[in-house]
Amino acid sequence: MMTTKEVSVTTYIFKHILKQLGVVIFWMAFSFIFFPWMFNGFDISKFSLKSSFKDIYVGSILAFIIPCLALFPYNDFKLLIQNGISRRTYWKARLFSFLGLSLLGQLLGIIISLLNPYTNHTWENGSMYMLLYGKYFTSSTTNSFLGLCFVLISTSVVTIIATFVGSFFSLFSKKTKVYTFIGFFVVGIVFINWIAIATQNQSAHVIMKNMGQMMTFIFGITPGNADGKWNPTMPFVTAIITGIIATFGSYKVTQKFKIKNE
Amino acid sequence: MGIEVRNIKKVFNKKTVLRDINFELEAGKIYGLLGRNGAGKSTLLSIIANRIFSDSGEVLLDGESVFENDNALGNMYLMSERNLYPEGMKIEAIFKNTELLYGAFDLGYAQELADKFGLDTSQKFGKLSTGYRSIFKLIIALAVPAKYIFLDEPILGLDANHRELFYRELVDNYVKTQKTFLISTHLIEEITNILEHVFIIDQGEIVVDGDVEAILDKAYLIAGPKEDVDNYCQGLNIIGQENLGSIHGNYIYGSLDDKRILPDTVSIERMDLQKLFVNLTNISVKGGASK
Repeated sequence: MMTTKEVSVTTYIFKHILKQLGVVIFWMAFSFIFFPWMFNGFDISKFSLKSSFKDIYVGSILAFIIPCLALFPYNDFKLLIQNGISRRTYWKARLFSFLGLSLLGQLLGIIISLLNPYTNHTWENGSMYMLLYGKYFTSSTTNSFLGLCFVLISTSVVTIIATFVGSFFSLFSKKTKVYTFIGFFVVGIVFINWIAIATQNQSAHVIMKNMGQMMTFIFGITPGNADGKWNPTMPFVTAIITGIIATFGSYKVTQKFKIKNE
Repeated sequence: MGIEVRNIKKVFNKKTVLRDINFELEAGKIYGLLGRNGAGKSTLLSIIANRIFSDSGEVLLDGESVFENDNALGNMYLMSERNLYPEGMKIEAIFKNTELLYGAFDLGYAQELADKFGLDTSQKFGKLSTGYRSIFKLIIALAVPAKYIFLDEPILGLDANHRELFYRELVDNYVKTQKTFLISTHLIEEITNILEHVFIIDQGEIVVDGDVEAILDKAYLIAGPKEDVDNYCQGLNIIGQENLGSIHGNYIYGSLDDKRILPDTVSIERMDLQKLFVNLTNISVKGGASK
């Protein structure tokens, strides 16, 4: 059960994200109309609304945008602590709001791809799960149902991870954040470089091989099975465990939130 | 019952900002928290309102820790110099959000105050001048349903007319609601008349904690020729000195001994709160201030 305060805070955060999402969707719709029109030399006779919207994967786009919005928790925290809201309530309300929107976004995406007369694809076409695991069971209904579940779970997990990452970076000052991003960038470049030379180095080669085996295990890649017939158990397990860790992490990090001197 | 601040300590970058702070706030009083710049006032208020963490100690409201306690935090409102409201949000929208988050926020009263102060509620918060930002936050502080209101430099940027209006509205609100106010300010003279109790904080320590009347009853200026004044003040708690031509003055904080014989050349005057504050917190002369 949620307390009155938790309901109020969730309502506030949900509305706030919805507003941000509204702005993003407006610009997205504008881009989907403007760019085809621009690439047709601003010739209105060549412009077709139908073709502009037929290849939009709403669910995938929302699965990307909603976690992006979850990356910036500090401004909401400032307002809520000013209004006598505890960090726990803030965290709970934020998690519920983002999870709710994330699930709604995916359901909306699926409904649109089912109902949109302009679209020339089904939601399964845009699902990585269906591509890799969608033929594992003999029943296509079971595969589709699990695919739907996986979409909902994985987008929720990505959103929770974004909440965790955003919260973690909110602990630092702007200056520290800039230095950290530079650090990540440099480490990323070095890592890519290291992978590139890994084949020439015996010990690195072994590490790469082990990493490959770990990825095989995490994603349930079944050697010998064709794409679409990989075992979906591990992706579900991986997603759920990652979700639990990220939820716990985001809670712990939010507990450390404080008003910064900047 | 009320707020209890127990053994609060805070260190920033190896500098001790607050050392073992202890005090209590009873419900239904107006308190003053006085201190020089950097004395630790804002830090202390931020810790009480759970915005930042202390290194040790605790804050209790009616016996319950305020840490992560929605009920306790909902009974407090801290108006601080720092702006925590979204710059792009309109004032009227912030009023509505405050109503949503605090509960029984008095929208009608807030609008009435906005009209009195000439605050345009259709403006965005970020577009307001420093003075009007303070006014906006004061309006929320007065209209919010919290029992404990902490005002950190509430008159920052306010002109004389607005300050007058604020003091009137504050007293009016206090009489009607019996809320507890803790006001941290530099402009002591203006606010002395409305304070019932003061805490003077100096270098992270509470050096005075008492009712204004009782404190001022122990604050004197002994003036006259230097030798006579010094003889008379022997053994008293001298917190400051002043010379004006041949007249020498010793500021005393503490009870005067009735048995002392007052020379004809020496006079005893009362000190006001500002003078007491200045002398107690003056770095050059540190008298042993006793609580």
